[in-house]
This record gives sequence, structure tokens and C-alpha cells, in this order.
Amino acid sequence: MSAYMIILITGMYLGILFFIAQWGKNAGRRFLEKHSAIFYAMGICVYATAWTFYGSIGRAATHGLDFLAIYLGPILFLPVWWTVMRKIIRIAKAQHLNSLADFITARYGKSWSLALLTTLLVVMAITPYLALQIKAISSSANVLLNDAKAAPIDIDLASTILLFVFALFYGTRFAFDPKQRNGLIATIAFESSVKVFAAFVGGAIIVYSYFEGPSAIYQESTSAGLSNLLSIQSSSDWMLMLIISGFAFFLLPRQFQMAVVSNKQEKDLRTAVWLVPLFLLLMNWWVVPIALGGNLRLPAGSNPDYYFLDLALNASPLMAGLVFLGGLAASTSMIIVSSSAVASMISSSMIMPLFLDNHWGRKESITPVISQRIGLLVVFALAFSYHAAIVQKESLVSIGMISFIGIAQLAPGFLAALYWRQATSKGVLAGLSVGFLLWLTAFGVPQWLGSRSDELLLFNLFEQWSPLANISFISLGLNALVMSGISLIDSPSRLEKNQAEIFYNILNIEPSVYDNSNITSGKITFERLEKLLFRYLPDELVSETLFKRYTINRIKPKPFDPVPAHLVSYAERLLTQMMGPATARIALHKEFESETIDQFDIQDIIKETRETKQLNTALKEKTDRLAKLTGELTRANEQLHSMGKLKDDFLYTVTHELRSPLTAIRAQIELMRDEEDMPKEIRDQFLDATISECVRLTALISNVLDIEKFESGNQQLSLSKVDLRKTLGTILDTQLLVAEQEGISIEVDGPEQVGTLADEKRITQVIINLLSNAIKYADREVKVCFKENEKNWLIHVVDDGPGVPEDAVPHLFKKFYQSDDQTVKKRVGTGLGLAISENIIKAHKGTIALTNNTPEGNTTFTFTISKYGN
Amino acid sequence: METKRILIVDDEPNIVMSLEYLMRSKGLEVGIARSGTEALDQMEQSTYDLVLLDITMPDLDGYHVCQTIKNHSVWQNTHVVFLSAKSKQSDIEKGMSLGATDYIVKPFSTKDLSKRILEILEA
Repeated sequence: MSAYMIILITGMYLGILFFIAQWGKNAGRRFLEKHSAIFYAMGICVYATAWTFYGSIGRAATHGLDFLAIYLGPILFLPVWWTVMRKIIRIAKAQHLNSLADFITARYGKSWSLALLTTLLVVMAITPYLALQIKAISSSANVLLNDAKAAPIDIDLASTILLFVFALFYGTRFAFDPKQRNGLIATIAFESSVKVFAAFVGGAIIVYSYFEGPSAIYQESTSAGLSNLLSIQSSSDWMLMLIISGFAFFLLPRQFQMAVVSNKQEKDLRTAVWLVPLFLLLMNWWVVPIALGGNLRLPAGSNPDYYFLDLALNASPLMAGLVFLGGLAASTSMIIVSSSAVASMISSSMIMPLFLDNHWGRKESITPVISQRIGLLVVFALAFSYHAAIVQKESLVSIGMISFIGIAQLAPGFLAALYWRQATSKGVLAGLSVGFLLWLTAFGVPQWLGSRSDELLLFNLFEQWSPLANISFISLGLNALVMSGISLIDSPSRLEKNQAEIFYNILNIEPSVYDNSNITSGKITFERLEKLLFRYLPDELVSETLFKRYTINRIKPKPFDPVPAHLVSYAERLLTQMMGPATARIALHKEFESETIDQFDIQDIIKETRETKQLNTALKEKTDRLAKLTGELTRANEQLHSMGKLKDDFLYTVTHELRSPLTAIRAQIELMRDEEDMPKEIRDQFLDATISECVRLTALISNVLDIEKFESGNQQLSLSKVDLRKTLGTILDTQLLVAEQEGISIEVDGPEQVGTLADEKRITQVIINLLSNAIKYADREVKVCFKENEKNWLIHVVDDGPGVPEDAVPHLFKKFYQSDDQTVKKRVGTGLGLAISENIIKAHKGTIALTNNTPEGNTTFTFTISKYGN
Repeated sequence: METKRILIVDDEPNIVMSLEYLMRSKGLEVGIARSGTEALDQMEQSTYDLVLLDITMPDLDGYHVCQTIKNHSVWQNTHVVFLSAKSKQSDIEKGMSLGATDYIVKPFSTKDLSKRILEILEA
């Protein structure tokens, strides 16, 4: 393949990356949001670098299956990863943290020295790794070229510059500009697709076209005595790599960038949990067959790292192009994301603080974006110099592994940040220093000096372990030991305590709590705060955030008024997004007029919020219950009120009704007493009248008592089998006489026996009432008819009188038909007869009504009562 | 002194009976009406010095009768005394506001009643 061809492919590929980033930034935004889970997961697959793409095969060809640990580690950690990530994402979003260094610094009191140390470690560990990716590009190009000197331009330098430009565009504004972030996510997801396609499809084609499938390769290897590669050679290394790679999956700067900062919604994690392992599986599917095949077919002395590419080249130029692109995708994605992440750390912990420090006597004239661009330049310069200056002896995997172990030194402090509230910044600083120094001595320095790591066996604690395992165990162990030891004797600052509480409890904390977490009592005016934010933040970001916040919280900013505490805390988070927590704190607090920065205890706030919440819930329950009770009471009261009103009316009417007979009685008795010469016939008349008034009074009182009994539900019926014909017979014995006196005849019609279950005394009362009313109003004749239907007897009482006046009909069955405000009296007995009758019939589960009312006669009252046995 | 005439208006026969005896025993001439309409008929037929008026009655209530009397050009100087079982203050005030001379609540003391009626007639 010609050099021009390679340059063309590389150039075109990078061109496509720009195109996709631009698409993701603008037109593809919707698509990206719709499929955010897939893009997110594919972004996390930035984990697979050239080390995976080429290095796995190299490792497998020489060390057998132990390459798998690098992928099994993350996969085994995934269930834990999911819960830990949820926590980290919450914290990072709440506190606007954009890198691993930010994360650790924020937790440990925003200590600048810790930020610096973390960044230093990351730079030391990642630079060789970055250089490795650059090397992978040039080496793979050289494999295709066969003769490196034929290249008209330096491919590594050219691609490094292009990648630098790309990162400059899409990597530096990553932290706060969602558009740029979308562009980057789209690009990385695309690159992941390219590399997995090249690895899986390209691998399959080679295995099946160049060889006769995987089984043929195994058979051939077994017969050639090469099958020992199908085993794990060093179990200590294997275990070590599992653990270290599991840590790396959390801690690598590029992983933090793609898994935490790029996360759009927590639920996307669910897709990542299955898609990432699947991706890693596909990436490694053909590693062993190709490694075995390379050992079998390729000439001795070929670099095993490039077996894939060599075999593809043997197959066809097209295949070679595909594999080269896959490797290119793997390298470039790592370079872009890692460089941006490291640049952001360098910017916030090294560059920004320099320009904030007044001792330098400089005006703050640098924006975070510029600072990040400087950081990026530093990263690329370092990586490229390392790549160019140091003769590479290490395999791809070894450099990667050493870098992993370096990064793993952050694990103790990182895990303690999430799960151990007692951990302090001094502890982490000390532990990290120890681990860092040990790592530096064992690998870092030799690596930077270009010597082989396994030549240096400083710490061989366990002889049966490999040097790699020994140094990892010792450095990590001492790191954790020192960290916890010092943390235990150290007492954390209040800020640290607060942050510890937030980090530890983030899943249970309400946003309002961390809004208040950094409340300070020092004063800063609106004017100074705005000036500060405008200096460090892009103008449009200030209006999108701070000014929006004013509107939401209905704040009217007056230039010389002090800013409310929660807003100071918010501003600090905005600054953190741009320059990291430590620097943001310094920048903000320099603006305070008063030096005393007193912080509330977050534990108190959390406790208070929890208590308030509990109290609120309890209160709410109580209020709800009270409201319900009040409702019930109101209803009961209304009921009582209307019942009371009815009762009052009733009582008033009863007393009114009592007054008439009493008046007559009193008047007559007084007259009889006072008028001694009253003639005898008048005296007799008075006495008769008095007696009849007393009878009237008695009837009235017993009626009132009856009504009361029925209405209060105290009336008990004494039921027995009753023949209503017999009952009527008894009644007629007396009523016939009354009727006769009035010149009225009574006729009875119906069956001979009318059996029912009833309280005979009460039913008698009803019949007498209806009958005497009928006799009172009849012209000549009253009829009593017994009719029946399926279940009931219907008893009709009919008279030939003038009928009930229309206006009286609706009130017939009401007690004392004439009420308080009615002064025109109607002639209806005591006014209680029909009301009592209705109560009695209802108690027998029957009905009573005026069923016919015509002026021509046949005025009919009917009541029903169930037949005996029904 | 000429004999005073009193109209007793009530629908309770036993009350009417005792009132009639009481008034006659005090030397008054007595007219009787058993409802509101009957009372107004009686007023048309002869002149009365005082109307002893029940309120709760068939056809036309006592308030109405009083109102008619007080609005009538000839009868307006006739005394109206309510004699009612309606004992609420509001009922009494309503009766007095219609121009009644007095309002007596049932049951009454015969002595009291005759004394007040005579006082009114002699004033």
C-alpha cells in the first residue's frame, strides 16, 4: 500500500470525525437525545483502545489468555459499577465536577495540593499511554508501508496535530457546552462502532477466509505444539489485572469523561450495563484464533501486536484498510477523550491557580477556556515528545498496564470519598504520595527513562508473584494503609465533613441541602459576583445560569447588596465547572469582603432536613386527618343543625298545639271558680268542655310520644300473625257507631282472610286513623277494600267526600301540617295522625299514600303490607 | 255610659265559649266570629269598640284581619287586642307593629284579661 494511500485514508477518516462532531453538535442533536442510552454506552466503550485492538492479540500470542483479565475486570465490576456510577453521577452533577481530579479534590476539602498531586499522577500515568496510541498509529501505518522511510510526511506528527486541532474544538468546551459535548459523544460512539466492526467482522473474514475457521486453527496449533497459549500463565498477574482493570474502568480520565460527565440521564446506565460487556466480548472474539494463526503463519520476528494487520495485509489491501481504520479509531478516540480530560485537570489545578495567585503580581487575565487550551497543548506536547524521544521497547499491553497501576493509586482515596466519611484530605494526600512514589520508582521513572519495567525488581515481597503483581500490591496496600491511618488520627475541617456527608449520602440528599452546603457568612456584593463570573465564564453562560437563577428565585440584584448565601454557593458551582473545585474556591473567596468564612454543618442541615421532612409528613398526615374530621364534623353539625331546626319547629308546634286546650281548660276552670252565680247548665257545659279538652291533650301527647319513638328508632314492633279482616271487625265495632251518628255507611270488600305478620296494635292505629278521617270527610259512604298482588296486601280506604285540597296534598304526611310561619290553619285532626300512620307502615316495610283524589268522590288512601310468609 | 261592643275571633269553640261568658259577665255586648273572613263580615254588619283576635285560624289569619281593620277608613280607630298561643317575641312585635293596642298570650288569666280589656275600653 502506498504512503499516499495511507495518508489519504487517515486524512479522510479524521475529516469524517470532524463531520460527525459537527453533525452531533447541530443536526444530530435530536437523534442523539432520542438514543442517548446507546450513544452513552458506545461512548463508554472508549475503554477499548489500540491496546485492545492490536495489543490483545500481541499479549495472547505471547502470554496466552491473560489479556482477557483487562476486559473481565470491568465486566465483573459492572454490577457494582452501576451503583457506584449512580452515586458519582449524582455528586458530579450536583457539584459541577468535570474530572476525576475535581471529584477527589471536591470531596477532600477542595484542597489544592491534592488537586495538584492527582493531576501530576494522572499526567505521569497517562502520557505514556497517550504516546502509545500515537505509536500505534505510526506503527500500523509502517506495517502497511513496509518501508517507513517512503512516507513523504511524518504520519504520527500529522495525525497528532490533526487530533490536537480536533480536541481543541470539541474537547475544551466540553465541560459546560452541551453542544460541543454532543459533538464529542457522537464522534466517540462512531469510533467505537468502527473499531468493533473492524475487530469482529474483519476478524471473522480473516479467520474464515485466510484460515478454515477457528477449529482448524486450534487443531493446527495443537499439532504444532503451540496450544499452551490457551491457558493462563501467571495466576497472580491474572488476579492483579482483573482488579486493576476493574479500578481503571472507574478511574481512567477518559472513563470519567464518558461515563460521568457525558451522562445525560441515570437510566442510560441500564443500557450500558449490557451493551458495554457485549462490546468488549465482540472486540475480543477473534483475538485467540488470530494470535494462534499469526504464530503459525507469520514469519518469526514479526511484532505480535500487529499480527492482525499483517494477516489482513496478506488477505487483501481492502482488509488491511479496514483493520487499519479500526486501529485508527481505537487510538484516536482514546487520544481525543484522554487528552481533553487531562488538559482539563492541568488547567484547573496547575494553570488557573497560577493566574489567580496575587503573589505573581499579575492581573487575572486568563479565561478557563484559554487555560484548557494551554493544558491541551501541554498534554499533546508531552505525549508526542515521549513518543518521539523514548525508544519503545515495551509492548502495547505493558505500557497500558503500568499506566493502569498508576491510575489505580487513586482508588483508595476515590473509594473512601464515596464510602468512608472519616477519610480526610491529609490521609489521602499522604496515601496517594506513598503509592505515587512507589509506582514512580518501580515503573514511572524507568518508563520515562525508557528502560524496561521488569528489569527493575525493587520490591519482591512474594517470590511466587510476578514483579508487576508485587509492586501493585505493595504500592496500593501501603497507599490504603497510610490513607486510613492518617485519616483516623486526623480531624477533618468542617468543609471536608460537609462534603463527606454529601458524597456519602448523595442518594438521600435533596438538592436544597447541597444548595446550602457551602453557605458562607462572608459578604460579597452582586456587583463583584457578576464581575467575577463574567471574567471566568462565557457571557452567554452567565445569562443562562446566574440570571436565570435570579428570575427563578425572584431575586432583584442591587449592585451593592450582599448576595444571598445560596447564590454564592451556586456561583461557586458554576466556577467549579470551569476551573475545578479548589481553584473556584480560591477565586470566589478572594472576593469576599470579610475574611471569616463560617460554614454551617452539613450534617446538621441534613439532619434538620430529614427531621423537617418527617415532621412535615407527620403534620401532613395530621392535617389530612383533621381536615377529614372537620369535614365530618361540619356535615354532622349541618345534620344536627337541620335536625335541631326540625326539632325546634316540632317543639314549637307541639307547645302551640298544647296551648289551645290548656287555654280553654284554664279559662273555663277560672270562670267556674270566680263566677259563683254561674248557672248550672253553663257550669256543666264548661265541665264537659274541660273533659274533652283533656282527652284532646292526652291524644296529642300520646301521638307526640309515638312520633318521637318512631323517629328516634326506639319503637319496637311486637310482630305476630294477624288476620286484618278480624282486626277490621274489631275496629268497626266502635267506628260503625260513630259513622252511624254522622249518617255514613261503611262497606267492606275482599277475601275472608287477610293474613300478615304485624304489630296488631299499631296496624289498628293506622286503620282507625284512615277510617276516622274518611268518616269525617265522607258525604254518605266509606269503603274498605282488601286487594292483593303477588306479595302484598293492598288496603284501600275510600270515601265519597270532596277530596283533599290540591295545595294540601304534598304536606299530608308531614307532622303538624301547619308550621310555625303558617298562620292559616288547616283542618287536619291533631296534625300527627297521618305522620304516625306512615311511620308505622314504613316500620312494617310497606307504603302508604293518597292513591286517588278526585272531587267527584272516591278519595282513596292505600297502604300495603306483605302477605304472611313473605 | 253606653254599652261597649266586643268581637271575639277564635276557631277553638271551647275558648270562644269561655270568652263569651267572661265578656258578657263584665257587661259587654259580644259578637263572635270563628275565622278571619267571618270576623270581617261581622265588622261590616255592626260596629265594635274592640276586636279580640286570634292569629292562627282557617281561611284568613289574625295579622291579615288586623291589617285590614287598621287600613279601613271607618274601622281604623277600633281597638285590636291579639289573643294568641304564638308566644315568640317576633310574633308579638309583628302584631304590635300592625297597630294592635295589646297582645295577650294564651293561656291567659281571666281576671287579667278582663281587667285589661276594660282598661282599654274606658281609656
